Amino acid sequence: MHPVSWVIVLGYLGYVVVDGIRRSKDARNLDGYLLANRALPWWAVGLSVMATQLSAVTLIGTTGQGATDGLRFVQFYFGLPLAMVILGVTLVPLLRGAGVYTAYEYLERRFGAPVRTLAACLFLLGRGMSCGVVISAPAVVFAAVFGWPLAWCVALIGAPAVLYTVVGGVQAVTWADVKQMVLIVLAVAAVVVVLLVQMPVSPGEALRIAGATGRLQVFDFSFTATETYTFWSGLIGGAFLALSYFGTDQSQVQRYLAAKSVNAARKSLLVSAYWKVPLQAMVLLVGVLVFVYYQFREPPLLFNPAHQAAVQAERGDEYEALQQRFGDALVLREEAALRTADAPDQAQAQAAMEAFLAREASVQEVRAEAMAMAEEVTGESPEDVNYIIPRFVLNELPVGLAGLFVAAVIAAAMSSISSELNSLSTASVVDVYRRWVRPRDTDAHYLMVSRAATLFWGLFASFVALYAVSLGSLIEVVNKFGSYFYGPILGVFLLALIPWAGGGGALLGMVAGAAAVWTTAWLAPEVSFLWYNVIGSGTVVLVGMVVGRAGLRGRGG
Amino acid sequence: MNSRSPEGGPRRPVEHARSGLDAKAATEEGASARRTLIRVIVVQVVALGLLWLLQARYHI
Repeated sequence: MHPVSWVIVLGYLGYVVVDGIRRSKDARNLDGYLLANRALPWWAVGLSVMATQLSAVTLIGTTGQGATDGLRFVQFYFGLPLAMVILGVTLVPLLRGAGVYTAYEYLERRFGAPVRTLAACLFLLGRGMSCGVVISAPAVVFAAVFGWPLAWCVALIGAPAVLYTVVGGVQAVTWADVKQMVLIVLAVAAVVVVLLVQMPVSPGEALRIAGATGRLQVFDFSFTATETYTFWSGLIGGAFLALSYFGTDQSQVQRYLAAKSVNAARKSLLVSAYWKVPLQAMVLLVGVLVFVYYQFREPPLLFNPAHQAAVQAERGDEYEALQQRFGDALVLREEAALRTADAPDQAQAQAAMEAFLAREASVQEVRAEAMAMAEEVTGESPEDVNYIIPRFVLNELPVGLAGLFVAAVIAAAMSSISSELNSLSTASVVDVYRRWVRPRDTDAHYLMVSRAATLFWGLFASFVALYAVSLGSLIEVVNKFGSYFYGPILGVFLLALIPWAGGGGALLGMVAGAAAVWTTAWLAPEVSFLWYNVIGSGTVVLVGMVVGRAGLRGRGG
Repeated sequence: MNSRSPEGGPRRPVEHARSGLDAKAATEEGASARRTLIRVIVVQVVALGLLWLLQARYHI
């Protein structure tokens, strides 16, 4: 990358860290450090909520998914706005009114200590591991693209976030998130403009080419539990997933607990309700436009530069021959793409599109051979969807804009990491340390322990990030483990809204909910994970209500 | 609900969402929630409508 771009990246990192440290003056007590004295404006909290959800995986992986699969992933977010309204009416006033630091603290008041501790521990385990994955995903891509050791990349992404979170607490996290969100939107919008300007066809013609390959199909109304991205799984399953994530995950709950008032907390959630679907559509559209862009510029045969170098080193002649065939296929595809764009009427457009699709299939055939070769040489998965956008940014974007996009990717990672570290520290200190280990001590002591806990979780996540690649299957197990309990945790919060539900029913319901999800995953593995939250939370509410009613009858109620 | 702080610290007031609100305030809150829901639905319908137009115009 050009030195000017590096100056932009390093300048931005320095600015975020210095600004975060400057905000430590507002974090001199536990309430200031963990909840910003409940004084943050709604718009800052709203942007922080969005920035926390939007990680580097979104900028690298989702754009790559747009390039290979089109816009249909946006259906995943259709239930989110509805979930935000439901949370604004139910859980937000409940948690704010309870005056708690964590969502799980409320569960003890409602159902007793075992339910609180179980929920907090599940959060710490799942979120601690996933924070490592949030660091690891962009670090692995950076390592391959820049040719650096993985540890450097983990440090580049993780260290600034850990530093300003340890020092500045939730104040630093929130105000850094505001800047990160602005930078991310600016970078994505700038890339869209550059793509449209640099392409040799008009925006309408570009969309026609994308449409010919099915990449502009947004809606799939089929009602099937086995297809992950459909309108109905997005609307119903996505709503339950958003209810779980925004309503019961401390990394999000802590954002709106720091807002000035109940109304400010509600308004902060509505920022996502209004903007999440359009923003996600724009991120996917970047990928779609990159796909069209590469109809007119030669893309790399293998997007992962590490795989490309390995194959060239070991099987140079074979790779060279493939490269030649790839170039020939690209020339034919470009001609077909231009005919598709220039077709004067519907009949000619249809014929041109069929020819274009045949050329596209030839290009993908050569790519498949190259990827098979990469798999044989490296022994790794040849999947390179996460490398499409980074290669495009570094090879095709003008000097400066490439730096802006790389800074945006790091910003997206840092905004998620910092919120997660902040919430992990809060749950560790409030739900475990202060609850079980040292219940009565000074505010200064808990503040010091909170900072130490943030640092601990930062080191833990960095350690996981370093070994996440080799622990691939373990990470998958952890993610599955998390998805088994996400629905049950939502269920127990929903159960809290039912007056006659009690602690016994809640605990039994959580176990039954996890068992229901586990049984579904075991007996019907084809069921999309989006439905796990519906199954898990529904079982908890049902079991909790039945046990609660039985308890009342047992007591003659 | 138990109002004692679980950490044994000073008592903090624990309120239910609607406790302390009179019927009028509750009605206003309900109306406000309905208005918000309608606004969110309208914005989403517009966003999905634009995506629908994009698909209808260009998807083959």
